[in-house]
Amino acid sequence: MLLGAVTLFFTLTLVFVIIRMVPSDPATVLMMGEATPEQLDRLRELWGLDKSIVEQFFIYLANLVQGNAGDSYQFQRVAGMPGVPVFDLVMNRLPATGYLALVAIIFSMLIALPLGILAALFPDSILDKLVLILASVLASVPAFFSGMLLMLFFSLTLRILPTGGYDSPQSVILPALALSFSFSAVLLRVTRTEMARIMRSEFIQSARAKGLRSWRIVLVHALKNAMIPLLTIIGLRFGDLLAGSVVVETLFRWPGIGGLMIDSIIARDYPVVQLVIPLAALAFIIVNITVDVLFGALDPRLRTGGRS
Amino acid sequence: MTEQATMPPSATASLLSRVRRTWSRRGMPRVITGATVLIVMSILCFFSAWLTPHPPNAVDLSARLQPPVFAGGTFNHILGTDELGRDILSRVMVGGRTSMAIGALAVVVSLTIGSTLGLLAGYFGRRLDAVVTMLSEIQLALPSMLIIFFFLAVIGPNIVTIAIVLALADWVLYARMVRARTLVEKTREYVDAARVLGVSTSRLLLRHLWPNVFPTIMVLAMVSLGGVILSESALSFLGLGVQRPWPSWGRMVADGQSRLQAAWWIAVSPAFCIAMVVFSANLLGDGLPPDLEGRVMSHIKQTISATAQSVPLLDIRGLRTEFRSDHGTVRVLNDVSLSVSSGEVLGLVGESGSGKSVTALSLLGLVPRPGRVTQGQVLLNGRDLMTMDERALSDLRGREVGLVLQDAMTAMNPVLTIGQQICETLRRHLGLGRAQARRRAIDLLDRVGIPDPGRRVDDYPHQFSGGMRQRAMIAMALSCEPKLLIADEPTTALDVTIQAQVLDLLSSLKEEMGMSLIMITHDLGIIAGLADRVAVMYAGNIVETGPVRQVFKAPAHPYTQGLLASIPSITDTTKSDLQAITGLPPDLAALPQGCAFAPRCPQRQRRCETDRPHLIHHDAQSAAACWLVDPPSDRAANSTSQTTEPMRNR
Repeated sequence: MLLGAVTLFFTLTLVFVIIRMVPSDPATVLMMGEATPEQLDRLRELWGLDKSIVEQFFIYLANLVQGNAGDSYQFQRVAGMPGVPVFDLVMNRLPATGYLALVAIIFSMLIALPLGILAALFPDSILDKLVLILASVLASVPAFFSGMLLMLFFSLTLRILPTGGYDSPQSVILPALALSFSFSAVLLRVTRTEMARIMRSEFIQSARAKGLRSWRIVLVHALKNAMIPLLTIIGLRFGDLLAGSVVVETLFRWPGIGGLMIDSIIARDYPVVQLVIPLAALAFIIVNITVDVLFGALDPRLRTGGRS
Repeated sequence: MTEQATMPPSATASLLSRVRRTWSRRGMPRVITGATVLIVMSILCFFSAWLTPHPPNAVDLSARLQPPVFAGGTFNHILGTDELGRDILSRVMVGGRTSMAIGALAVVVSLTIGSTLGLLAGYFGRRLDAVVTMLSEIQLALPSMLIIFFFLAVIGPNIVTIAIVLALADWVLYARMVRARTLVEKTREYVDAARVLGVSTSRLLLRHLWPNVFPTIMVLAMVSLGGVILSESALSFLGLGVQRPWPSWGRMVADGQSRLQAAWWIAVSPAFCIAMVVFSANLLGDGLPPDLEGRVMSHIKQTISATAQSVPLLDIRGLRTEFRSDHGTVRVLNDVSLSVSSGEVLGLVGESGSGKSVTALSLLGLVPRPGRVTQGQVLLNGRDLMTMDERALSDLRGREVGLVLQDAMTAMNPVLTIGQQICETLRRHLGLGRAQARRRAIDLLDRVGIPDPGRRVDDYPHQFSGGMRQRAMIAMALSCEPKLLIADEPTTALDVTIQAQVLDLLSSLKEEMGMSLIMITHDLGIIAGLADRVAVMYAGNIVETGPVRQVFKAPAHPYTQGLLASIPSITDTTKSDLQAITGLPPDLAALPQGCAFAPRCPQRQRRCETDRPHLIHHDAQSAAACWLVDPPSDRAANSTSQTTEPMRNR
């Protein structure tokens, strides 16, 4: 928790400082050279950019604590007037990204668990080798390219799924698949290694010595133990998933945080960037705290208050 | 290499041959394939200025959107052309220079930063270590790729900034690994030795520690090379990558996206290159040996032979179990025969590695890979377990044969409650319902002497004390009232008073349920107190068997004699000095041609070194495998035969 707080503050500060270190400023970028110096100065004044960086930072923090992340520079209802509140902007987009990430994790598990378990049960078999090759291929293909191939095949050739957007329930399938591929490669390897390790452990031997059905040994005794490292990896690699979602959202025109982030960085839309990136860090931290909590549910040894 | 030069030649040779052996099976082909692809692609890309078939920017509007040669195009443009008629092969080669340069640079930078910090933090510890650890923890708690996107968009991309920023994301991996390895290495003797010799710290770090840490780092570097190239391509795809002088592969894919349907080859060629490089780098990383230690076979264990009385409950005949490895076959059980009658307690003794546990696992069909029972019969009530299929065998395990292992902490599933683990056996074999099984489980826990069983049934194994856990394990093994219980060192992990309690429990439960017991142990005291008969194992053979009293009173085999001489006696005060058996247990992979015990045997004769003795009865109930034992002439003809064939099997 403390580490999470430190990390979050570190991110806030880092983003705030770095984005101001570059010479090009938002006013110039936004007006694209079509404004007089006086107009630019007025904009900077409006956004508070004429103050010192320390002053700006404290204003930013004070507002943030009150739930005000400022107004967007690029998204304005009326030119020259205060823009759309960044909080609204981001909150509008957040569910889409959360949904995409969730579906992608589910897809990854659906790919990785059955294959990884099978490979672990038959080590060094043809199946095992095929699974390993599949994992390597999935890990080697960039998400934007697998996304393009999926789009080419399912949308343009078969015409059964939309090429992008967020309109129909099916829209999530292709972006989530594209996002899940490299993630499932990681899960696949972990599942295989962990299941193989667990299947060699003594408690599996004694479960077999009890004459239990093999499915019960694999799915209850072994898999429950394997879920612990799997969750760890999901937590650790969640950041990759967020990064991948930037690419996938761009490719499939998915109205999530990722696309907003890229646009805002390029437009030097400070308030948006200053909220989105720390928010991503926060999501990452929350996911990892959740993983820690789930550990307790999965691994009784980590539960507190038990007799010992 | 300098390290090896200081070793005696034989050690170097054996190290090299071990490396070669462990590599040859799976590592080598991967390393060769991965390295070849990477080298060829690097040459094509880095020397592209001289190698491209066409100038990469030459526009030829007469040759627009030509497909690659394998899709109906011409050899003039092997990978086809784009919308301006530019040759794709040439562009891919030139673009690869950007991608690969960034990848290589990023890996070098992160490796240098990370391993330097890791080495220093691991070696000096204290405050530096705390700072490095803290930094790396913060960084690991961040979604680093997102931060990279942000950095680059702000700083502005060129080859160097991209490489450095990507390197900043990866240094943590190196730092943590090098730190961990350094912590281990610095406790090794050679470091102390170097310090005593007055080697300077920097020299110690660079010349002594670093070479030992380096192999591990190379594996990581290869894997992260793939990751960096992937990240760079994602950046380029988002428009945050290098534009000049040449677009990297990721950028080319992004540019080709709009024409995906009409001219797929524009995007596919660079994308394929990305995948190839990443795949090869991962392959190379996978194939490199993480350390030079040869794989050690994990469990090598073993067996028995004995004589039958009436119809035994369990009758093992000529059981042979082998472990196959890259280096040949090791026979861990060599034609073990043995029997257990109803209600009998058989003690199975021997040093660790003599094959006691493998015997138990073999008869249940549970030998761990790569072990295999290659011949023999295991008759349980006259039914041969070795010919049963897995399903029939599993009906029998837990139902008719129970198994208690040495350490209940590892033998019980840590994430299931004690109750769940007992109930599942009951439900599986006796078809009990949930509630019934639970009542029965509580009853069983009560029977093995666990206080407050109604509450403790819902506890997890780690919440039990060692002795209680072993009791629960016994309850689990006995839940279906098996006819035979195999207890493999059931008390070794317990302290002495608890040991006695558990042994008492086993013996009273045995009487109560009228079952047979195979007691596997290296503790002759336990055998003396509990067993009816004893079988002594040595190097995968049963070397002596007979009634406990007789064997203990007049051991026939020199090995048994040695075992007995090595235990202290309270009653026999004349035996003042303890005799240990000299020498070490034999290497099963290289057994001597004759008697396996011969090298350690004080009564060795010439014949012992050339011929292997059979298990021969020297009276109605006892047998021993030793040339010193004279068979009664009338029994010599029908003695239990043992193999004389040498055990080496390479």
